Amino acid sequence: MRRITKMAGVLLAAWGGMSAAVAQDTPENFLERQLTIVVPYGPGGLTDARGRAFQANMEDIIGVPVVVQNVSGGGALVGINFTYSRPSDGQHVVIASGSDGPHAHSVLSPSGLGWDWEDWTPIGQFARSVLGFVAPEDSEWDSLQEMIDQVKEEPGSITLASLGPGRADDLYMLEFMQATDTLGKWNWVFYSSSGNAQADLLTGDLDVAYIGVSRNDMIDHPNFQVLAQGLKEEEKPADWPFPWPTVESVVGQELDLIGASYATVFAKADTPAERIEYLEHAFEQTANDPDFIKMRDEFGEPALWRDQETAQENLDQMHELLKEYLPLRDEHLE
Amino acid sequence: MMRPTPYADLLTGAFALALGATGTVITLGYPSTSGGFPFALSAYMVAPIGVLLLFKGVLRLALEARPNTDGDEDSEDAQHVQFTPVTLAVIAAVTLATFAIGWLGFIISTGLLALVTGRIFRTRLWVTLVYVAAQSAVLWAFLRFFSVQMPEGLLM
Amino acid sequence: MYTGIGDALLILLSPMNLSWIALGTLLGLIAGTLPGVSGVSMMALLLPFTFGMEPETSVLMLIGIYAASTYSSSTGGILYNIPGGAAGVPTTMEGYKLSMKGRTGEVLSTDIYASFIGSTIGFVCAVVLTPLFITFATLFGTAERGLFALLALALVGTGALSRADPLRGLLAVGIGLLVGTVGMQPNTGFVRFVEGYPQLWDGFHLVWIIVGLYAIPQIFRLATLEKYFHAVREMDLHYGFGEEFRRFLSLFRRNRGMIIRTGLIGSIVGALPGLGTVASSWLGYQEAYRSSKAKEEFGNGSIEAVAGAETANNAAVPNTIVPLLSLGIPGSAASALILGAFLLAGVQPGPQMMAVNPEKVWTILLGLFFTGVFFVIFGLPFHRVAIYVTKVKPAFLIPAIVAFSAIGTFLATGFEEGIYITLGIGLVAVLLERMYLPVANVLLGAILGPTIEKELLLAYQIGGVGRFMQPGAASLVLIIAAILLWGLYKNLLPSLVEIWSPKSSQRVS
Repeated sequence: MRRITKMAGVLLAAWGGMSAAVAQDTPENFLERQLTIVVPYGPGGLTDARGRAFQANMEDIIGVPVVVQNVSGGGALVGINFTYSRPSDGQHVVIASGSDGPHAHSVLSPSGLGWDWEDWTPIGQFARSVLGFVAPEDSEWDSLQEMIDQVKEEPGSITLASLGPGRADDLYMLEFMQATDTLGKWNWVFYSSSGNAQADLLTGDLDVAYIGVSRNDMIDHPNFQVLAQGLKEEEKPADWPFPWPTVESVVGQELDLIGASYATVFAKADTPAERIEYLEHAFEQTANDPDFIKMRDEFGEPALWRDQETAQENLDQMHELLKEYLPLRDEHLE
Repeated sequence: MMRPTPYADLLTGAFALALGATGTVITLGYPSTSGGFPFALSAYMVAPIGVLLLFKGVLRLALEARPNTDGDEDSEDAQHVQFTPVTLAVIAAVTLATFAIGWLGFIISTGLLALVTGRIFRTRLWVTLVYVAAQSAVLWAFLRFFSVQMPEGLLM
Repeated sequence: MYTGIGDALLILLSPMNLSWIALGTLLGLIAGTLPGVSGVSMMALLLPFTFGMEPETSVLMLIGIYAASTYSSSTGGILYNIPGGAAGVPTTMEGYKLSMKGRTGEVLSTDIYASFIGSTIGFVCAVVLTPLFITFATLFGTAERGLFALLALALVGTGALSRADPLRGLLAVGIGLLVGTVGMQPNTGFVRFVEGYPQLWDGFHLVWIIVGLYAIPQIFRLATLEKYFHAVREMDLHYGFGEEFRRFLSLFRRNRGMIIRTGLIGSIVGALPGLGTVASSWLGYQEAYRSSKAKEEFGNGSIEAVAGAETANNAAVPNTIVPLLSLGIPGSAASALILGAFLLAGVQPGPQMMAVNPEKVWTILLGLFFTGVFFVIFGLPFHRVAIYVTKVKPAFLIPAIVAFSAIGTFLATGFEEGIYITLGIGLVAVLLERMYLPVANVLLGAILGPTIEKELLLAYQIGGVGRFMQPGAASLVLIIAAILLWGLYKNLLPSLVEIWSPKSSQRVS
């Protein structure tokens, strides 16, 4: 089998790679048997696909197999709890997005947790979680601004869906509504997945949905139009494939939460520093691997790498902002 | 299908009433959008059926000349689990083995379970041992091949 | 429309692709037969093996697993009363009873041939009716989806499933619906009953419920009754291919209309987002009951029920992929995995796919049809082997069922507490059976309840009561009201009258 021959090759590569790595003064590979990437959702879907991309490309770099373990439930919280219950030896990491990582759950969880945000450390960030306002192609309104004007004039006349509740997305929407002075004016409902919301944009139940848009087929889609993407104007890369205006540019002001969301690899904070350092090195190498980049591009989520320090700064900031916006959520949601 | 005894009606009725009442009490404090559905199910469906079944049981006890109490002789009922010593031993063994999965690990727990069920059903020891070895090997290979991370317990 | 079909056949007929479909079918057969190991779990387990494969090849293997696991979810049910998945439950209810009467060979053959006919009808519908299904799906919004699930519950719950003892049948459905409310209310995020246990915020996973309701009680049943397990071990293992085929042909001739109708029902329900193979198999079962001249056999072992349920759920399989292929919207976890395989290969499913990559669409649809052929080829000898597992002594069968149930349960959510919860559900199921409560009704309520609650509340949030006055929703409301009234008159009233005059009533059969 391909797997067995690959395993033998990998063992050899591991031995060779380890000696080479030591020689080049890279952090020491501590992984002996495997690296487990915990995906806090079931198979299929966005987060699973992110984990699988590492599974397919990382083995050659770390010299041991990568196992994706789907631990689902509680909007990613069960998978995060599971990772927290493992020893702090760096052999289990968890992948989450800006909406549902430990930095968010430590603020949003309706029940007490056995850990806090300080108990986690990012290894790095490898993709932008880009959500956007999507409307049907034949929508009455041609831009997000028209919709904003409409709900101001006639509150409750537009049904808006976002993913949730219980995710940071609730607060993204509140930030957007606050910035546009439309708090309480949208007919706001929640959907559990982008797919379901897309289906109801077609059935006419929804007028607009704030859902995942970083898929190549969303460009010139015959059924949908993306009115705005949740990406910070200043962070938009020159070669960014998606042509839609940013939410910031529509709203005409800088937003704190919307657009600051990245897919992140997390480990427990008390993992030995040299192991964190090695994991960062290994994930960075993979994120820069041409095969990985190709795979991510084809999926529609361009690969990137933001190091541990940058990631920490981004998530600390998100964590504080989420705390700040929480009272607003309690006020506006049941 | 076998007709349940009046006592089974009473038991089922009491169970439904208790379940419905508990559900009603718990969901009474929930916000209406979130608790309305389970409240309605408990208060207007499960509990009333419980009352009807209780009522039916009492009436049958009062009116039926000779309530049929040995329903288990019916061929249909012969498929119901009965709490014989062997069954209780198997229930205990399966329960213990299940809870041991997190502690001893999956392979060891299921191996021990096979050893115990082998004893309970008085299978020859060497046959049981061969089976335990074979089962463990098959499970180990399955888990390894598919990279399933069942709890490893002592084997970790 | 039909461009690309030739290219698709060339792709499919390459020995490499045929072998991978065959392997996928075989693995799907095994996954479907094992308790709790779903087709989706098996697809996820095999994903790492597909890295580096040609995209068509990996998608073909995945759909092979998916289709074959739906078919074989009833095999374990017929042989050991342990269905491999929810779609196999109606067949389990009837098929196992027939099996105990020595008709194992006949049920297994009916299962496989009806499944093949179902998958053929499903394939034809997917090819011919896709444009119609797409229009249909865009008319089916929140209110219609919720009401359709309610309609299915009302039809099946007040029909075939509850005819033996309507009061208990209804109670069991109520318990199931209540079980479905455990966890986070999807529209509001409020956690019900289990706030301190994030593992249960998504409610009880369907795999836990199926394994708990079926596999665990069967383990204890095997342990309980000498008489019972002797009966199991002495099941007629006679299995003649020719003889069974002729028997099925005669069944088919008698029930041609019913089998075609259940195939169409399965195809339509499969194409509706969110309901899929499970609702199809129940509605197929109900249709078989409605049109049967031997209604008294239902609940005691009805071969027509097996044919109806299996035709319907296998007809649904190709059509569950229609929303993915035509709109790019994955309607289930299985479609999401297939979507993932497409995207990894740089192929974007969606409305443009038929224009840009027609051969890919055809490869998938024809691949599903080929899977149907393969599961007949493999299924017949597979049955011959599987049947001998019933000969294994309880001493060894029990730990094996426990082990594979634990793996299946664990794979569903990835945490070990799921195994303990499943055992708990199983122990409760034993008590429910002692109270003569039909566990199939509990399962039906637990499956449909969450969809009904979520979609109806969402519809209300979106458009208030007016949303239910729109033509589609309003017609469904009227149909449901009629069914409920009829069910009340036909089933529940006699049962209530019986309470008042228990002496006059005869055995409820």
